[in-house]
Amino acid sequence: MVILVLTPERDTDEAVERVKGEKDLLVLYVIEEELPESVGSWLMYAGFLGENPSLEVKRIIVDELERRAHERLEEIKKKLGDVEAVIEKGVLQEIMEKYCREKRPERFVIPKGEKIKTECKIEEV
Amino acid sequence: MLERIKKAILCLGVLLFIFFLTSPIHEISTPANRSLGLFFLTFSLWLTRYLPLSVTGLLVFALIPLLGILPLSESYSLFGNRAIFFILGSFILAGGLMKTGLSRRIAFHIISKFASSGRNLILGVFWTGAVLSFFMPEHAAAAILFPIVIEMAGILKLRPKESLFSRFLFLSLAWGCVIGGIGTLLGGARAPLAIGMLEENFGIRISFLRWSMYAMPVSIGGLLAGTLILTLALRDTPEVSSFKEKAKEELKGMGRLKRDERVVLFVYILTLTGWIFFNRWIDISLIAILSSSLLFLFRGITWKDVERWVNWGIILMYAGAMALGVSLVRSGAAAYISQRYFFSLAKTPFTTLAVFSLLSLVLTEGMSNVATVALLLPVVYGLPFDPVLLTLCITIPGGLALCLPMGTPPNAIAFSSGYYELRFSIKFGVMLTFILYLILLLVGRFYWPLLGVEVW
Repeated sequence: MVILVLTPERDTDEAVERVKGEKDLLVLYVIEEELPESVGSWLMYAGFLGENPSLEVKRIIVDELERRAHERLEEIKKKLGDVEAVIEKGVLQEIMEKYCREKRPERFVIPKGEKIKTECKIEEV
Repeated sequence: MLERIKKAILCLGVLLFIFFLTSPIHEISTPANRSLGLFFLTFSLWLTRYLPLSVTGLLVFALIPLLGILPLSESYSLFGNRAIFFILGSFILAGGLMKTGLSRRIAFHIISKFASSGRNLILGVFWTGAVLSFFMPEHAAAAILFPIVIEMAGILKLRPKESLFSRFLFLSLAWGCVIGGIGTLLGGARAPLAIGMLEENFGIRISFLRWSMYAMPVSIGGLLAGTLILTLALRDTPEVSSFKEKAKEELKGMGRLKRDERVVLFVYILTLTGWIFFNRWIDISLIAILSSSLLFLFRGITWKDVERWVNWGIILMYAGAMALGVSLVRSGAAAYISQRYFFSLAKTPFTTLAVFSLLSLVLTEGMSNVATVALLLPVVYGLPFDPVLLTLCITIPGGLALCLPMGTPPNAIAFSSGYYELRFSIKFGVMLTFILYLILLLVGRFYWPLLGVEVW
């Protein structure tokens, strides 16, 4: 199995092209909660907004990222055929480790960015 | 990289703090030396945000008496300044606007009126942000508008960083809130804090209406300049009728004004009337507190609501900023610094306006508006010019952070959408900031003298 990993920040057509033709393919879209977390907590930690509006801002950002992820996966399905696609929220490193343990993929394909280390092979595109 | 710079700034702040404890400047007193040390420490903490802004504010209160800058009772008494109580009351009122959903209803009403074309829709977001920020803190206005604009982007099937339209939709949200926020005393705490410091140091009182008369022309000028930039930049815009339909549905779904919304609206109108027409007889801070009490009396809001919607910690920062500023002025440190280092730059009132408003505009991009005002005001208060002019030339530009997300919460909220790049907001933000700077100089040169401010 090959797992194509995408995030809002690491998402290129080149990576999608690279996995074209793979028979056993999973597209894993990771919504990293770091940004909404940091915006929401900054607004509250610095003291600008109360709990409710801060959490609301954070929730809206996460929802928006999820909406965009769904749209992107639809687009990818049109390109690659009816592949299995999953959306996960959390820390990219931890999620890839989890998928490495559970799915034992032949390799991950991911657009270039911050280095990720797992026991499984990672191909950066 | 950013973390390293932050650490370096903090280290420098701590070192300068320790250095000034040894009273290195012989021309000024020991308390004045120490207040300068405290100034650098606070500056570094506010800039790097290693501590919450409010905790730094609290630390200022502890260090002022501990370092012998002011007696304990005098230091604590600054917490009771009327500006702090005005901010407190206006925050409760803003909490009522948010909690009841009245502000969302108003936002939808205004935006739907503009939804005739793509360009007008963006102008609608821009002006709605501004109008809301005339009456409530700009960060609260941005938090209210943000979900509406995100929804708008979804309905119009916009993609992040895809077109000028999608970028400007979010940037206009931030711009509107920021520029509107300088128009009255309600847009942000920096203006009430500044008039509080003016009163503490010079015994000069400025009313709600008077402040609006000084600041509103700059705000309106900035809004017109923003409108011009948006109009010229947006040539091809998408069809927006789908959002107009959605707005209509939304407003229909909201139904008639609910009881708690009516209560908040009534109290708000009453408060504004009081601030504008009766401030000669009743202080604006008293009106703010009485009005917020009315909200509870009429069951428009509960204390639990206020706790959830308002962040009280920030009041500590405002009070700390006030105490720091007053201690710098009273110890003589501010006068020494401004005469020694800045008088050559600011020989006339107008050059003071030109130099310090520019400095304030630059500083506010990197740090909180209130911190900018709290740090620069004491310095200019040492210059021998009209204190009202000095207050205006720092406070108004101190609210105009239009480029960077860390400058002010509306920018951070809009930027977090991911719909525009940093270089985009810098490119257009610098352009608008420059125009606003020119507007401020023109208003200062030709209009403020009509209100009795000595600019020449």
